[in-house]
Order: sequence, then structure tokens, then C-alpha cells
Amino acid sequence: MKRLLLGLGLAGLLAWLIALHSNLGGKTMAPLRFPTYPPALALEMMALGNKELASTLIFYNAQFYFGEKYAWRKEEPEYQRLFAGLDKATDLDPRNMDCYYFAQGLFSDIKPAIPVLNRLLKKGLESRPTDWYLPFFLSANYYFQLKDPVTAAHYLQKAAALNPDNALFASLSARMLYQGNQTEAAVLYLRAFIKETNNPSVQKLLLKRLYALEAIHYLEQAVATFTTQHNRPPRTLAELIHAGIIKKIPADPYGGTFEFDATGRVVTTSKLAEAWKDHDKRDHNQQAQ
Amino acid sequence: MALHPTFMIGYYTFKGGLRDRLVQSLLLTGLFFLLSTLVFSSFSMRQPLEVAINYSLATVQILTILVTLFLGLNLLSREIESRAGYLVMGQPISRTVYLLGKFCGLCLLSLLVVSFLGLCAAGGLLLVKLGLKDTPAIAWGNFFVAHIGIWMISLLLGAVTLLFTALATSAVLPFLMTIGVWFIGQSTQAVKNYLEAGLGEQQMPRFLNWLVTGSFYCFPNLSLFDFKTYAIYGLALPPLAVGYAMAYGTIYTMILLVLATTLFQHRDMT
Amino acid sequence: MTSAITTSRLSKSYKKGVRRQQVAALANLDIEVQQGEVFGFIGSNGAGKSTTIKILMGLIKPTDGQAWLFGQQASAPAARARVGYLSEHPHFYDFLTPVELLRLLGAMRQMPQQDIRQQTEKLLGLVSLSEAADRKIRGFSKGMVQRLGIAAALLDDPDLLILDEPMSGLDPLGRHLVATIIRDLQQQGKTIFFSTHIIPDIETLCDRVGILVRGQQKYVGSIQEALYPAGNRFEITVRMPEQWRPEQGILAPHHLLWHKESLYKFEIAETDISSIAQGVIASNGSIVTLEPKRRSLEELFLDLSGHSEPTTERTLASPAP
Ligand SMILES: Nc1ncnc2c1ncn2[C@@H]1O[C@H](COP(=O)(O)OP(=O)(O)OP(=O)(O)O)[C@@H](O)[C@H]1O
Ligand SMILES: [Mg+2]
Repeated sequence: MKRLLLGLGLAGLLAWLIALHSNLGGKTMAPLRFPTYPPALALEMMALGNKELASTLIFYNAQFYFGEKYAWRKEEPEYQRLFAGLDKATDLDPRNMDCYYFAQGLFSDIKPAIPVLNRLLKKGLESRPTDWYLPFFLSANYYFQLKDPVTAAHYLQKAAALNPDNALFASLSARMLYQGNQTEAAVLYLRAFIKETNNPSVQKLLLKRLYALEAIHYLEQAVATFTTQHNRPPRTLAELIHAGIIKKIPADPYGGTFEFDATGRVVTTSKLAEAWKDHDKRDHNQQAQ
Repeated sequence: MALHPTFMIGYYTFKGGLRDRLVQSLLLTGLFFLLSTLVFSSFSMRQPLEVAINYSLATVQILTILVTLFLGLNLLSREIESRAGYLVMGQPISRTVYLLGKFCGLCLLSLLVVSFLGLCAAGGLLLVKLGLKDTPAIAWGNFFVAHIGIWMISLLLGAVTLLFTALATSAVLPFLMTIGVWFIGQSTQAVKNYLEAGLGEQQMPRFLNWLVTGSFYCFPNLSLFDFKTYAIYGLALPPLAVGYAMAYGTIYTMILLVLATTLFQHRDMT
Repeated sequence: MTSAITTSRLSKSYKKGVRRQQVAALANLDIEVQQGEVFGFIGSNGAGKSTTIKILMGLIKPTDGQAWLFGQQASAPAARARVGYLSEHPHFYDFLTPVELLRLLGAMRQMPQQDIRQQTEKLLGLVSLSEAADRKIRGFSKGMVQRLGIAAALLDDPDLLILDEPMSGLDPLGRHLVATIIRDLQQQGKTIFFSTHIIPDIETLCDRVGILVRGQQKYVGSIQEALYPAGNRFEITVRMPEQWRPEQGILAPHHLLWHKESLYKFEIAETDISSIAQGVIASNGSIVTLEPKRRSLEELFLDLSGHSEPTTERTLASPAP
């Protein structure tokens, strides 16, 4: 009887602690860091003949880390470490498509990361020569980020040849090569990409990007209408409302406001490019101070 | 029906293995792991079926090897250490027959284990496939060959245990040394490739290079038996690679058996 | 007729420890056991009995000398074809049942299935293990394992039995059983070679004994001669009237071993027997027992090893009075 009471009391105490935990709002959690993995050779030796499994495990770790860091804790992920992890995972199993797909989703919008991302994708293309996704990704990166339509077209053709039944390539290449409307092409590309993902946090990241692109596309169309009506581009976005072309300026999903850049293009306040930095170095500098 | 004593010993070794608690629990663990394929593969973004095959083959490989190692410990090393072997060696049979019989039993046991786990893995994969749309077909032929490769590894390691058992007087030492051979055997190829690619030439002293080349020839190269990649991605299996691995494994195992029986002849059973 | 067991200058030294120190366990053993003989092999702990037996069974290799079973080199597997062996610490596959174990052994000896089944039933009955015939050996008591070991040694109806301490771990019934079995086998003309510590067994069973002291063979021959050398002394137990005192009369000069109520035991010389008997009867006493004084094996060993002071080490069990 005494023991029963003690047990019940302890159970109650535990329930209270658990309830308290969610009130503390993560203050009890250790900081979340993505690990720096040992070199691929060491990983292969440790895997005892199960390279593919080791590769999958690294990818899973990256995926779960990203989900918790980005979608749940709402902190900035350590992109460079993530990339290094995925790079090692694809050294272990260069056919691991999950890694390429995840990398493209994460890094294709981070301009400084594009050269390494393309190197990664080319590694994949070597091992998965019949997979149309890889040339498709490469083409998008060359077109949108490196502004190299010739190489982009080359890769897009490769993708189309591997997957001739997909109408996506025709409309994409039409927009990329003839109409030259980048935003429209980017929306198309992103829609195609999002359709394939089943990872909620990656989806969240991509949808945010898609909303921004769609808003930009919407504003760009309004700018074009304004320009034909007034024979000059608008000086501010507010002019579009005064001219009665749009009701209101859509919200920027990155939290700021849309504005014109120096060349007069509509841009968001996204700080994604700054996220590509060396966390280790930054930590080191902080410690040194 | 008068079986050759070798097979009689093999048969009773087999029986002993089946009644081994540790082996039974490892097999149960295997069953649990193979069922968890469903959960594990569901986290993949692009290739759940590939991940499922990958995961189940890795499970089969690790568990088959672990079962073989523990069987080697319990049925070979422990028996010789515990003097239960006196019973058999007091009979008019040679020590060679005794050792070969033990090895036969071990072969049979690991065949049973790998088939059992393989069937469970296949069942798990069918379940995974049922829940997926538009997945590529599973390359069952490659899947089967991958299991043969796993069995070959366990036979080789069984023969390694036998050799160390013939030499050592303690039961745990052969077990630990076999684990060491397993670790080294799995990585010689990778290390050699790494050195040959010239990646580490600057840092690597010359003697290390020799060491690696030496161990490449001495230790069994277990990566030869790894056909998992072909099974996972449904790649065309080169017959030469399979044939070479089988020939290599058979000859290596036979050399180990000859060495083990020779050394065992001259050993005092105290 | 070839001898069942022959050894010639058989020696064994173990290398011990990291420094490979030599331990001489056996030196220049020469024995010959004829067919049909029961040979007892005795010696204190660590004397080298089990070492000899393991060499005979081909389990260990002698460092020097040779051993033959029925004229065949002991190291050859074929030499064991006519031999049944019981080891010092029988240790069986404990995942098997006695029936399965005997089936395995029978199969290894290439016995016909029919014989195996008959022998199994007969022998398990003989060692009273019929009830446990289908139970796993894992759960057996020490004595049960020993009994099973005896059954296993007898399985193929061997011509020569080599038993290392067959009585160890057995209850009095078990000991009696083993003694009976040995006598029966001797009747059938089998040869039995066994090591033991138990003196009554040696006296009642053995035709000849070999005595080992620290690896050296000290005696081979009849046990009677070893224990009752000629000119030996006797022990007499007498019952005397109540008022009788040992200090008086004919028995006064003799050594009183013990007395209890009216019983007295003295040690006397063979030549005094008749005079003492007369004296006892004259004092209204009676003679209860008169037996030759037996040397204890302990004494025998001490004699044989040339030491007079008793060693601290416990050697062979002394005979019961
Ligand atoms: N494996 C071994 N390594 C080293 N020395 C050994 C070994 N086996 C036996 N000896 C030594 O050999 C000697 C003889 O041992 P053995 O077992 O033959 O004695 P034993 O007469 O059977 O004694 P017991 O009556 O106790 O069974 C002992 O001194 C023992 O220490
Ligand atoms: Mg002994």
C-alpha cells in the first residue's frame, strides 16, 4: 500500500515535470549542432562493409537535424557542415539519390554554395547516368544562379532525353530560352521540385521560396503593365497601388518588404546567401574574443 | 545409413547451434530489425525501396557474421577449452575429422541463419514495396547473390576462428582475433584504393604502404564478397566478379582449414 | 598375445608460463598391462596419472618415449578402436540428452544403429539413468554425469577400458556399481586400466598396481606385497572383563592403539600371536578380530618417495579402520 502511494506520487511528479518541460520552451535543451564526420575512408572502415547503410544514416541525420533546427527550433542551420556531411555520404555511396535531392533543396538558393553543389551533383551524375533529376538540377543551378543559359540548356536537354514523356522540360526550356522570363521559369522549376518532396521541413523551406517567387512574379507583371501604361518603369512599388494596378503589395515571406534593387528588379529581403558561412570559424572567432 | 563421422560431428554441432540461447536471441533480434525496415525506409525522400534493401541486407550481413562469431566461440573455442572435445577425441577418429566436422556444422548453421534472415528480409521488402507506388522492381537475383556473398564471409570467418582455436588455449582470444580479422578484412580494399589513388601519398610513410599491401595479401579481402550495391540499385551483376569472389573465398577457406588441421594435430589437449 | 598397454620410457614435461618453465609430470614410465588384467594406477595428486592416461588416449604427445595400445601407436586414431575411455572430469555436450549423446558416439564408432539402440537401453539401465534418458545433460548432477561417462565408455563393448578415477563423485551405491561392473568385465576377459585414490577398491579389484610418485614409477606388482610386506605386524582386538587393566598381564608390553568400554586394540608382532591368545583366554577375555597390520598408502608413499617426515600436502585418502 505504501509502495503504491509512493509510486503514484512519483508518477504525478513526473507528469508535472513533463508538463513543465513544454512550458520552459526548449530552455532545457542542449544546443543542436551538426557533427563533423571523420574522413570518408574512416567511415568506410567503421561501416564494416555497409557503406550504403552508413551513407543513408548520415543522410538521415542531416535530414532530422535540418527538421529540428530549421522547422522546430527556428534556428539557422549550419549549412556548410550539412554540406560536408552530404558530401561524405555521397563519397560512401555515390548513388544515394536522397543526398543529391536534399542538397539541391537546401543549397540551390544559396549563391555562394552553387559551385560545390554543382560538383556534388556531377559526382551523382557520374554514378547515376540515367537519372534525369541530376541534369535537371544542374540546369536549374546554371540558369538561375550562374546565369549560364548555354550550359543550362545542355543539361536540360540531357534531362529531357532521359525522361522524354515529361512535358515540364518543354515549357521550362521555352521560358528559359525564348521568353527569357526567369521568374516564371523559376516558379515552374520550384513547383516541379516541391511536388516530389515528402519531407515536411524541406517542403516548408521550398514553399516559402515559392511564395516569394510568386509574389515577385505578380509584382513584375504589375511593373510591366505600369511600364506599358506610363511609358516608364515605376520608381517605387507604392506607385503600382496609386496607379490602381494592384490592391496591395504582397507580404515578403522572409519577413522584410519587397523593393527594387539597383537594376530595377524586384527582390526580397532574404538573407539566405549570408547563411553560407563557416560556423566553425565563427565559433573560433567568438572564442578568441 | 552410416554417415561419415565428419558429418555426424557436423550434424551434432548443428544441433548444438540450434539449441544455443545466444544464437536464438540474435535471430529474434534479426527478425525485429527486419520488421523495422518498414519504419526505417519511410524516412527516405527519393529511394525508400533502395533504402529498405540496403537496410535489410546490412542487417542480414551484420547478424549472420555475429551469429557465426558467437557460434565459433561457443561450439569451437569453448568446446576445446572445456574438454568436451575429449569425448569425441577419445573415439577412434582423427583430429582432422573432428575439426572438419565442426566446420561442416558451422557451415550448415550459417547457411541456415543466412537463409532464415534472407527470407525474413525478402518478406519485409515485399511489405515495403506494397506501400509504395512507381518503385523499380527488386533485383531478386542480385539479392540472392548478395546473400551468397554474406555466407561466404561467414564461412571464411568461421575458418579463421577454427585456425585461431587450433592455436590458442583460451576461448575468448580466437573470438576477439576473428573480430579483428573481420575489421581488417573489410577495410584492406578501401585503404589500398585510397593509397593507390594517391590521395594520401604525402602524409603516408613508405612502411605504411608496405604494411597495407602486406595485409592486403595476408588478410582475407572481404569487400570482394560485397554484392549489396548491385542488389540495392539493381545494377547488372558482372559474372566475373562473382566467380572470382567464389574462387577466392573457397581457396582461402581451404588454406585456413589445412593450416588449422595441421596445427591441431600437434597440439596438446590439456 | 600382444599386451593391452605397453609404455616405454614414457616422459612428459609441460611448459608453463611465459618463461616456458619446464614441469616434469612424468619420467621414464615403463608399464605393461596384459590382456584380461585389472590394473590399478595409484599416486598422489599431481603424480602424473592423468598425464599418462591422456598420452595413452592420444590427447597429449609425450616429450619422450612411446606408448602402444594392442601393439598400435597410441597416437594413431585406430588404436582407440577397441578402447573405452572415461576422462577425469567428464564433460559432455550439455545440450544433448544421454540417448542423443550415445547415438553420436556410436555413430562415430561406426556402430550399427541396431546395436546403438540396444546398448543405449542396456547401459543407461545399468548405470540407473533410464529415468533421465531424455533429459538434457545440462541439468545433471556430478554423479549423474559420471555415470553417463561410464555408460559412454562401455558403449562399444571395448576390449580395453581406460578409466581416470571412475569412482570420483559417486555415492556408495555408485561405487559398488562400478566395482561390480569392473568385476563383470574382468570375468568377460576385458582389460581394465584405472587410476584411483580409494584403497579398498584397489585391494578388492586389482590384479596388479602401479604406483607413481611425482612422475616417477616407484612400484609395479601385486598390491598385497606392497601393503603387507612379509614379517609384518598384526592388530588384535580383544574384549576383556570389566576389572581388567591393560597395564597388567601379557599385553602390558604391547602398544595400545585404542580402547572403548571393554574393547582394546593392540599392535603385536606375528611371533607373539599364540602366547597373547592364550593369555587373553586365561584372563577370561575373548579375541574379537585379528588382522595383519596394513600399511596405509600414505606410509607406503612416504616410504617409496624416501621421505620420512609427513608432507603438508594431502595425499591419498587413508583406509577406513
Ligand atoms: N596442462 C598442464 N600444464 C602444465 N602442467 C600440467 C598440466 N597438466 C598437468 N600438469 C602438471 O603435471 C603434473 C601431473 O598432473 P596429473 O594431472 O597427471 O596428475 P594426477 O596424478 O592425475 O593428479 P590427480 O590425482 O590430482 O588427478 C602436475 O604437477 C601438474 O601440475
Ligand atoms: Mg588426475
